[in-house]
Amino acid sequence: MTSETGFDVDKYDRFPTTEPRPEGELEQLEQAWCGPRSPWEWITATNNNIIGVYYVGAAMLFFVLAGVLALLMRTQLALPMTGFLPQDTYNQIFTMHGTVMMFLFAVPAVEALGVLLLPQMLGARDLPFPRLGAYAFWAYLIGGLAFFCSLFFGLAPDGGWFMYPPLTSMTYSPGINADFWLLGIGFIEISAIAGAIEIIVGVLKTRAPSMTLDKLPVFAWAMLIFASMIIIAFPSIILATLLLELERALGWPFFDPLKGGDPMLWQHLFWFFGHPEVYIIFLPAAGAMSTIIPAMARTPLVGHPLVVMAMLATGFISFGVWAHHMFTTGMPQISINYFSAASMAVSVPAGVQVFAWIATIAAGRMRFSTPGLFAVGGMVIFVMGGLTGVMVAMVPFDWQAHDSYFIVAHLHYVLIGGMVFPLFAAIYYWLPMSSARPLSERWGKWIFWLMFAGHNLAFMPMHLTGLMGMPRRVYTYLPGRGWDLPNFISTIGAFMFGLAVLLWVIDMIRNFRPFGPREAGNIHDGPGLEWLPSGFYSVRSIPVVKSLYPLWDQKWLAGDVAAGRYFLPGAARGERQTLVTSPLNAEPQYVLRIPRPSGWHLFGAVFTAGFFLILTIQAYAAAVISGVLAIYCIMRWCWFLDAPHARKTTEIGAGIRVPNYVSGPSSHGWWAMVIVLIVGGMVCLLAGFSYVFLWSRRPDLWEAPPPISSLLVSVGLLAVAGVCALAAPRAVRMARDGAVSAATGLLVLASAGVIAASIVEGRAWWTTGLRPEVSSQGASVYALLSWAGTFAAIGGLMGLYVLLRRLFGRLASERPSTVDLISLFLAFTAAQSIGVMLLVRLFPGSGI
Amino acid sequence: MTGGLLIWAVHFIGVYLISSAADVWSSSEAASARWIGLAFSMGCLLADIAMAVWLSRGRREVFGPEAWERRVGLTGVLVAAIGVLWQTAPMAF
Repeated sequence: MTSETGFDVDKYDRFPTTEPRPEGELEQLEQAWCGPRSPWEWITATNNNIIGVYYVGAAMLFFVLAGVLALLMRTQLALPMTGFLPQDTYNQIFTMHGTVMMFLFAVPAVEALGVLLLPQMLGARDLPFPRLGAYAFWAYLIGGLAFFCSLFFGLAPDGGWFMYPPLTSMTYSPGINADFWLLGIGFIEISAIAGAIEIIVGVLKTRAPSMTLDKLPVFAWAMLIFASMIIIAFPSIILATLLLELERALGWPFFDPLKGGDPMLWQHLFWFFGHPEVYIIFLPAAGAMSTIIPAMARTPLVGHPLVVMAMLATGFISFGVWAHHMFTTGMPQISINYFSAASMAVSVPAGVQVFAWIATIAAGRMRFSTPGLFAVGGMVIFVMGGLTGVMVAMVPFDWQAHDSYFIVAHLHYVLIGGMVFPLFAAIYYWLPMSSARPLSERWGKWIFWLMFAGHNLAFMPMHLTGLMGMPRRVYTYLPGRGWDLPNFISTIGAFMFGLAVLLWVIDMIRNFRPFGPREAGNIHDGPGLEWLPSGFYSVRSIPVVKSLYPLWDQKWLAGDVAAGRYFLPGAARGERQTLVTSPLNAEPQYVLRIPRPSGWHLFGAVFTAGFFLILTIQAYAAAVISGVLAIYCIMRWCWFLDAPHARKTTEIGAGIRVPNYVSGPSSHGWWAMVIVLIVGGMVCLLAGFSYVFLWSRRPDLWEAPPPISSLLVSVGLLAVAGVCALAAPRAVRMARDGAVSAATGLLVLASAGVIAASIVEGRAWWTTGLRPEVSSQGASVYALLSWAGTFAAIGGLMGLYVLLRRLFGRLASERPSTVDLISLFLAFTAAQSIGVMLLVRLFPGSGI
Repeated sequence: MTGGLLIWAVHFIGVYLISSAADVWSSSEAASARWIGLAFSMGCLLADIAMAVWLSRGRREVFGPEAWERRVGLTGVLVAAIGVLWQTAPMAF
């Protein structure tokens, strides 16, 4: 195997070490990673073992809440013409049920599972940005609870979980109900993106040494693909919610056909996020299935490379099928045919995974304890949902079934079989690892059968009611259409499902009681590193991984790891540390110092949530104050990053020394910044698509742009800013006096340049008389310029931040990461602004 | 490892763009748009074949991470080729 970093892989043979470990080493490690000791420390905790449990708990809370809403709906629909729920309330409840399940349960639940499990699975002490993970969690919890509570004030959104305009425009949805959805969901997606950054960098950079891609656990593969998909897909919903909110609050007509807008734009943007969302939810669950089934069948996964390829293929094709939700909107026939073909093609990678699971069950000796039951039950339900999925991929059938209860049945089979059952399998499988106690096996079997029967009883009849013509989202129906009995059966099934969830909640409360023995151990004989003996520090020492199933194939691994015979067995200088490795071959690169908990990430989350929520009720001054406080807290949080180290290197075991600090592409911070920029770039790209799309709808409304002279000034300023930004990292590395000041000056200059260019360009457009509320051209031009301007403003804050760090002596030539990252951001901002300005000036061609 | 799948992604985005652009300028049903789409699809298919040849060329390891990555890459090329062919089919009708 060729080395990726120059690390001598023969050094792995020095492990496990044989010499005795120094006295007090384990105690020092425990001290460094000690758990919370006061209520405040529980709230400000950042350790993945704690945040992961909070995260899963919060997601399951939203699952229960949304489930209660489902039961209310089923009660209303049990019989024809019942008056259990008024129509308006019903509309709010079905909107909240879908929204909470999709945004507050499904995505966060799988993300939470990743935060909880990945460090242990990868042999890391924690994820690389624990405070970012905690920030994401608190932002999600606060935002989610506030969003859900809107229901109790009659302010919940009522336009369906996909919030199509024109129904959600100011004309048809006055009041702030829709604004709660738009700002709340946009904000919650930002927290999902923060979690995704944590997961991508964690999987790529904090794996145990020698855990090459072929030895990367399938669940980690799934989480890597899942998080990458979030980075590509979620910008679309962020943009869509921004545009609709701009239309509602300021009258910018993106979706108003009278002024050149088009409601179809919303559908494209929404489903470019919404369809990958289904796979975003499914893939981690599939990864869990591909982990649980081999463990329960006591045999390696059949077709492991094929399963990984299938997950990658699912990730790619998920971005090519969004318009199959739009077959009835009048798109060109050939486009419909392409999307239909792509939708059918999805069944190839999905089928590969299902056949691999079946073959694994057949090849091994499957244990049908509760996790095994949930895994197999989930597979059965998912396959049924997949089959109806192929049916609705066929356009003539879709035209008939569209917006009927058949679709409700299909999507619940896919989502419950593809995500809920695997999630329960995962909870039953991994809980002994997390809480050190298994859930009751007897109760578990009851819960499974109640849930399985309840699901089929609830949703199977919906296929029929749909085919008999019952439309979705109706709050009641007339008797005598043949819908009465299937609806009644569906209601019984829903309550059986609810009973199963209630029993599970009781068992969970019993499981997390603060007394009684906690020594479950590896009760399933699981083969992954997560089953190694662990504490708040994760593993005592980070092992060399030689197999995809290390606990099955490396016989003495658990004992040697617990005895500290592998990498990083202690906590040098009492610091929290983890090992950073290379992305492909997982070769040791450096020791990452993990920050200790503080309150800043928490305050940051509270004020960020405050900004968005207060904005919803249109208290703009208070929202601005909250936003400024959020920025202050986040800057304080960053202030202590990139601090000096007492020593340049650390011995990580067997005489191997690695640096404590690296910069550039080797560093974890560089990767995170690149991912953030991809998110920003995706929003900009989609905004560019929106601009071109709106032009194609009404080219007659397009006016000539400002004279070219101002464009030359703007682009010139941006070019200078970009060059300054790119020169700063070189300047800071110069081994001479004044290098740090020179780099600071270049970055300040670059930030001033991007701000100046934004002002020049904005003024140029304003002087033409084009206004954003007048036409779709105005709206889309100013939206693009605002996006670029927001980046310029953040660039300005970064310029101020770097200047302050210089003044307080927190920049140094030997620690260039701060300069590197701000330089990357500013260079990207300059390039993005140039792209935006060239597009709005030169397309559709009247700029010169 | 993801080369074949990237070609697939380029293909489906490409054919959507070609048909959408054709719809703006004339009609997505126009013969010229179909021919352009077909030529583009053939280009993608050729790229897939080239990728498969490149992945199989002169490497004989059966075990180890590189062999595993190659195997994933090759199966990805195969799935991508199926996808490209399947999504080209609508142009013929």
